[in-house]
Amino acid sequence: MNVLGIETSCDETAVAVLADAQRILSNVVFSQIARHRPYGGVVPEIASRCHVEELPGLLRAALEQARLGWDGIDAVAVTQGPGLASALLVGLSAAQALALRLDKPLLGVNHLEAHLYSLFLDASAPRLEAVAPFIVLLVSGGHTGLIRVEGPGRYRLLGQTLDDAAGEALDKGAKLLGLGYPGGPLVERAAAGGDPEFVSFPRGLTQGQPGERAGGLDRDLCFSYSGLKTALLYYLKNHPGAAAGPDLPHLAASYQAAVFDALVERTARAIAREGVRAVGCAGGVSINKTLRARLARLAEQTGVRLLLAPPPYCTDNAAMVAAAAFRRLPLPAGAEQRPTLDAQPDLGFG
Amino acid sequence: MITLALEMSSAQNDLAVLADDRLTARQTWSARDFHHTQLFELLPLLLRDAGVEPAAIDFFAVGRGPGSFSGLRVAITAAQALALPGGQPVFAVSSGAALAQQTIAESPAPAIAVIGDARRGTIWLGLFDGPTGHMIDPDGWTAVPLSQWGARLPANTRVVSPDWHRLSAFWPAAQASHIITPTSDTYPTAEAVARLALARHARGEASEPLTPIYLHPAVAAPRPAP
Repeated sequence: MNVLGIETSCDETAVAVLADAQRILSNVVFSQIARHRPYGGVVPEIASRCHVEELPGLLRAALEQARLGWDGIDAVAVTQGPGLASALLVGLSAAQALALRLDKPLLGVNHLEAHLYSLFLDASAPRLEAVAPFIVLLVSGGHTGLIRVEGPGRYRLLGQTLDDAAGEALDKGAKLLGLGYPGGPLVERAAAGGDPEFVSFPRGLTQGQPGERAGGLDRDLCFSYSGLKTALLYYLKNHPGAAAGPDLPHLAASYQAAVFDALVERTARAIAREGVRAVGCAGGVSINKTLRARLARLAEQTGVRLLLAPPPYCTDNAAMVAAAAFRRLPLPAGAEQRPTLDAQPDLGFG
Repeated sequence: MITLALEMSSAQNDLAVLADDRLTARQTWSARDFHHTQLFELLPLLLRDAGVEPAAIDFFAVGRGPGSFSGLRVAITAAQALALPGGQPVFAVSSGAALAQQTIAESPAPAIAVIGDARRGTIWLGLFDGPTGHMIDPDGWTAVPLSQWGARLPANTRVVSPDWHRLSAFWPAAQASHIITPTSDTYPTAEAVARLALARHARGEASEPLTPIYLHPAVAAPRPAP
């Protein structure tokens, strides 16, 4: 069964064809970073305009790369949310029109669930069912959270950011340091050889009282990054020119360490509390080599298996969208084959 | 030849199927009351009413505004996706030009001005020659300040707008004595979009770009200095 996946939730326009949840026949991505870079972040209107321009060509390219005709597509999957409403609408329109034209099932996919499936987009990776239950640290420009995966389609949000996402914190830090956009890779590059203890930036939420809740979740598994960028801002005000001088690697390393300390610390707590045998990390920030190394150390120390998405599938892509759809296929008898799908910008877990 | 036309630039979304020159089915819904994705509930009904399968459509016509960005993106993307598997042509025309053709057919005048709410204190404006139906302004669609547009129009121009109800509240009546203003909103129809696209296609003209007509840049503020 071949599933066509479409992803337009933010600033990547992407199409993929998968023969099963782990067999990628094609994967094409148009990154809009260059168009957003002058503004230091994603501009929703630019993203939507770009999706309209690029998506038809990417659909053709994905079919060509997969060496399939349209009659070789058995189902269409599309990101329904969360994401930018006007951007989601473009992918949803293409998917619904294609499903109608091809007379094939249509599946709306949760973008966050799709990221979970990116951990298994490798022929050598285990299947999700084989490693569940496990914990996933989902960390990107728009999302930061810890999810317990019981099995396909069975997820529980353990904690999430109460303000900025980790990737957003890196973007804002990079901007303050004069590095540009997107922040994650630029901070990582600038931090090379820097001392991560040069400045002690805040690590977000301090440990709470036992049972303390934040946003309805366990406070000790939640994140907060709004104070971190403010701390960097004040540091730079008090140390004019620091970002332009020899301290830049140390500042970048210290800032990055603060972002990652919070991630690794909460992940360690979640592993201890949930009693799982595996931990995964997905999302655009998971491409960072320092974070990968730190999670590898944590996995070794705690004796759990580490699952990481292959680097091409860390950032937004449509292969993960199609992969997430397979667990629901074939649709049960009597299920609606082509539901009308509207954008769900605030779609969450559970 | 079977034509499917999609027109989603205004508060009234409209779909039509034409068999050669004959309108065989139509679906209309309010974009104010329903989401744009209702297109995908009504499209199968439209095709059923017309008695055609999606694969049997030979030509896709789509309106590209000016108007609602969301509606236009849905329509343009859907038209292209519907056409992609069979490789049928998708032909985009200005929704406003289609509305001008409708108006010329129903209420002739020396000139037709199609206007709409372009937000940010502006209206979008296109001026058409009544006898020929051709656009007069060489710059095409323009965004002009709300307070100035009436003065730009020649005497006896007939104004038509999908946003008249909203715009008339800001209408400087002193500027209006020389032109013919509407009494209600008028929406471009999918049928008019189809007929305009088919006529241009028959003359060998190229489709307009398969993107909405944007009269403002994507970002209102200037780019920050690097």
